[in-house]
Amino acid sequence: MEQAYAIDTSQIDTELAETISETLELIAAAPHSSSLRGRLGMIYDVNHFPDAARVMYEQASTLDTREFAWWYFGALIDQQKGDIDRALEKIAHAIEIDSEYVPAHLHRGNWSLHQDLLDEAMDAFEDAAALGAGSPSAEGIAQVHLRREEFEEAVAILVPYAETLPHPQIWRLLSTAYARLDMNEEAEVARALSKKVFPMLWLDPIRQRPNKYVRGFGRRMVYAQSLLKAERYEDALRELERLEEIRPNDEALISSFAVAYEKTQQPEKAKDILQRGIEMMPNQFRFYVQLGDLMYRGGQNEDAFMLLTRSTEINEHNPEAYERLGSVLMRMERFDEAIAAFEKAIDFGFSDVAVIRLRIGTIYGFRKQWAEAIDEFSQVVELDPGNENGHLYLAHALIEKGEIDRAEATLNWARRLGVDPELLQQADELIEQNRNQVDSDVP
Amino acid sequence: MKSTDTVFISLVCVCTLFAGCEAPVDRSGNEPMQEFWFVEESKRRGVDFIHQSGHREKHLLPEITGSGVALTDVNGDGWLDIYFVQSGSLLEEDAQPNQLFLNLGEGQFEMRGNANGLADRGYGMGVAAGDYDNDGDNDIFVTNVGENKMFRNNGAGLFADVTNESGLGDTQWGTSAAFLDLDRDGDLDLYHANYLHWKLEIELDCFGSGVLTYCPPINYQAPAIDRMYRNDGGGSFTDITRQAGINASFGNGFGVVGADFDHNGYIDVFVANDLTVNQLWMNRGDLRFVDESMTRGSGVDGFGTAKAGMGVVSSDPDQDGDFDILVVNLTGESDSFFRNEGTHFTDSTSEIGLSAPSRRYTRFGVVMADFDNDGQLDLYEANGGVSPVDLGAEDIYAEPNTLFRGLPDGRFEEVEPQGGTLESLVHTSRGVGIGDLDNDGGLDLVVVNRDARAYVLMNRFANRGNWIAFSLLNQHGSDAIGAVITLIRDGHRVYGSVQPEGSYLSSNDPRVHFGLGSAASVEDVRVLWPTGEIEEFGDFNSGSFVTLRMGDGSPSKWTR
Repeated sequence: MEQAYAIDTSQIDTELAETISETLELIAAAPHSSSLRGRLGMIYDVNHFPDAARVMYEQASTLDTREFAWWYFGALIDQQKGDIDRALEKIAHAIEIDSEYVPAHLHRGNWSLHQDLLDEAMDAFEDAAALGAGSPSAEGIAQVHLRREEFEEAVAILVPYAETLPHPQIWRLLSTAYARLDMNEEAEVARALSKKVFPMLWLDPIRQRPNKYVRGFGRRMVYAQSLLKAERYEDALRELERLEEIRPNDEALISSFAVAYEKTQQPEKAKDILQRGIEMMPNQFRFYVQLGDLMYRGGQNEDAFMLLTRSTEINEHNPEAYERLGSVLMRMERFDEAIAAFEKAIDFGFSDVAVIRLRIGTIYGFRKQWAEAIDEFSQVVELDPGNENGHLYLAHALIEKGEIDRAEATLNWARRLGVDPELLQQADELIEQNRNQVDSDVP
Repeated sequence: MKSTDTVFISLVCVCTLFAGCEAPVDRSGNEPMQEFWFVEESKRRGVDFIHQSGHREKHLLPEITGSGVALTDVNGDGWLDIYFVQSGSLLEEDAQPNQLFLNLGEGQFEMRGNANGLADRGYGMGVAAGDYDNDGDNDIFVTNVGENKMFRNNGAGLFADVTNESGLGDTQWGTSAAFLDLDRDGDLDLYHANYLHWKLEIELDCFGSGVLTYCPPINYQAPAIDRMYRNDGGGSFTDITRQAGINASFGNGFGVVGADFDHNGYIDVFVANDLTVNQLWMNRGDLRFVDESMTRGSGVDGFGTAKAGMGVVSSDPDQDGDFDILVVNLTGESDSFFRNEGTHFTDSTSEIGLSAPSRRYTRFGVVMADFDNDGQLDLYEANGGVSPVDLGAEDIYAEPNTLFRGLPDGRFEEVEPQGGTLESLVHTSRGVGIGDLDNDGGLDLVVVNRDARAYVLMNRFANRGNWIAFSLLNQHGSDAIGAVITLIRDGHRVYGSVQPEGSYLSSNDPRVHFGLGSAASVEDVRVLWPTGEIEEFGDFNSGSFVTLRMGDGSPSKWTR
């Protein structure tokens, strides 16, 4: 059997180097063990040594040709490295071993699409669909139809999902199909609803297996943060507690602990750890933002204001701090300052401009500055056509300003976008009242 | 592996011993040993630029991103000069300055130090060249991490720092920039991307492959808004970012390119963003712009993913008369080729054969041009990691560059030897500029390499086809950036444009080059000027540089 792939561990994290070294020793003692070679593949894989991981997965799959994971993981690395032909061969092997693992079919379909192998892609997506893959397989089938210029078929497969499980990618593909069918009104609506950005993802439990081999403080911190993102807060806390033993005063650790505590309904613990962080690192602006946010949520506006202001003094370009500060000021009815803070949040790159514009518009609406409110709400619905409040508030502001026709057009557009009719009803009634008023005013 | 190294060593020796050699030869004669496209001639050409990232111990994000290069004729002698943007140091004051290399003719260069007034010492990123004051010479705009700089050319290639007067000294982290006539008023406006709000105090620790390395931009959660400036004439600009609507969306901006994507007569702007949605600023005609990237299908790839956009190029490889977009991305992500369908773009990366081979490396610089003059556009990508690629290597981020040959069916196939050079060139490449440095009709490349010597890749393709190149000059005698030229080659109408922007942080030869294959002439040359007029100029023979001046042609009966 070939030698196991040994990377140069002289410069890397000690914990990772030790794990690699131990596994290499185990392999030396049991050179025909597929699982040990596969384990080393997973260690390399999850710690970002893809070339080494690929070699080890290939060695493991040579020793045990019936182990799904080695073929599957190897295929995933091959496609990432641009060797899609080889990835397709490996995934086909994996599917032979376990033909019921849906993600393998979806990968096969997507990679076939990358290679312009439309028949193979269609087969794979149809296999996935037969196993109940749902919208990801429908998306894939639609992609094949679009490539084949079978636009009506694409619409047929997508529409049920657009109605029940709308995802921007479904709308995106629908907009293309409608446009090619000259169904321009439908295409316009589909385009508007496709603006949000997140790719279609699916659960891949086997892919999580290598995660237990994440080593080194930095990589494990990234893993803990990924658990937070995945809303696995208890798992994240456990991982963070292990990391605390290594580097208790790490900035990212403290910040992540605060998030985990807050999400597990332990706000006081979150505040305590952030307070400790501020004492240790008084110029760490992120702690002030997090603590300020906690204070804001707890209704402690003055404290929140001070903390957030301090954060902006340390880092004048942090959009999150200005967004929170604007919200605090809004609650304190210091509206001009709130607008200024919100505008800074936008200027410094806050991730959701529509949300901020909605708040600014609301302030103008509260002040009955209808022209300004209309401008803000118009931007909200332009940026985020799915924002129901945006449509509603825009219609209200237009009615207040006497622009009844435009208000009606706004509501009609909202209706076409699928905004909840009950929400729109009040605005409809207002329009009706205004029209009646206008009629009665006519001599 | 060993045999490749042996070839590499022997070729280096041959070229060192015989400094005048133009191409590697075998022992029996002058036939090339293997098909190659370029020869790296920086030393021989007198171009000795070594980029400095300033990296010491802590990983500071700007260090992994720079820098760019401009290929532009600063002294009006008809030869492209090279202006390198130096990064320098984020911590020390005595950073190395940007460097100008004057072309003395035939592609031989002389370093000018600060003699020409361009030796900016800011932490340099990108560069744009264009005649902003309509006095007939090329001025230079430099983006920095910190204050950007504007340099005015006095006509003889001597520059004055006019940053304050021009109003272009934005102090964020500027990246790619483009001079474009956005309002069709006959002078060049300016657009530049900003990456993110960075300063030393917000730097983070990130880990990859078991070592500390640079963080991805999303970790900073601070994408910056780009800047748009209206040229007011008289040497000053007004920041119209807000009025123009450019603050409505943003990302971690890297690549910028301009073209009239919807044929409404106004230049639109596409921005490639790193791990955030690209922007497509559609020009509504009154200096109002709306980002239609998502509704037109160029914001994310065909699978709905916002990739790590770096460099960008806009050209017309399918020769259907509209401008398509190609964005290069991070390793593991393919290039994104957005084909212009008139009303929208379609991600057609797999149809042109780039889906698999493009994803091996992290690409930054990118140019699309006809290097072998066969009439098909080829593709060169300048690569280098942002996290460790090989911990055992001297440069742990280094990756080879790649060259793809354009095929008649519209697909691209990778050229061997890798990158089109016999010599194995593996560095962390960033900006790449394209132009004909020796005016021989073959397009050459200049590549900036992080913490290493820049490449000057002279085009030595053995059997290049015929060619023709056009300088399109406006009424002031300046390059008419944004002008579109169309002609008939071998019975087919083809298109090109004056487009120095594009690639990554760089500025290219403004002359429009066409490979002609075996065609000896081109017919029915027409120019759509940025101001909207169309003129006809007739037929031309191959093998020459042709200057077309606005007003010298016949008014065309054709419409856009």
